[in-house]
Amino acid sequence: MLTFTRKQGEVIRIGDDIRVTIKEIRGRKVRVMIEAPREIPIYREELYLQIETENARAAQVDGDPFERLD
Amino acid sequence: MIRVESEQYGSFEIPEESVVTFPHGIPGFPTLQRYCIIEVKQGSRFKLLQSIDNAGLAFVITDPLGVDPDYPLQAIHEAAAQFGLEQGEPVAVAAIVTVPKPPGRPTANMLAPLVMGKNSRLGVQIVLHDRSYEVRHEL
Repeated sequence: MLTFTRKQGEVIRIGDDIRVTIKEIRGRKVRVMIEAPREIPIYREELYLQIETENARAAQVDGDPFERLD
Repeated sequence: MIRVESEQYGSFEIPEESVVTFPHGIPGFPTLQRYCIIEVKQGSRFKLLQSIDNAGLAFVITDPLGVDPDYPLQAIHEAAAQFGLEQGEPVAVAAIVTVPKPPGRPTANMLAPLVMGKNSRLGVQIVLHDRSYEVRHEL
């Protein structure tokens, strides 16, 4: 793990092909631009966690779900 | 043809070209990449998305347009291109359905649909920007 301090307009590069640009710092909010290969999905963390939790719930099925649908 | 084992529904023969590959899996299951869609119950609006790599992992899916006729397909196409599918590629869209124990009611994940490219056979679970869609939309 690495922690950086960056100014507005500065960039962090991860590996050869991911760039994270600090676009704007305003009050308590930071606007970030991420350039990454198209095949890398990018999510906001809180949404990723929500989806991860729901996917795990959806994968847990007791009995035949099709009997309880339609 | 390849053989797919499902813990719950037995084994199936499917054409190799019907395999959908999620290069990064889906959130929660990042290492499981290959899935196929199986019609478990003829004529049902619900289908099974079965993992080919893990017989014990399967999801019930449904067409989100059947849940909400105004579902934003245009936004999905745009998001899908950002998430690695080919630009303008025809796609199949599916919502994952959670079927809890009764009396829990089945819900569909309308916020984060699965998008599967019909040419590339690549899949990704995207997130809509429109927060009026819910992870647990009651069916």
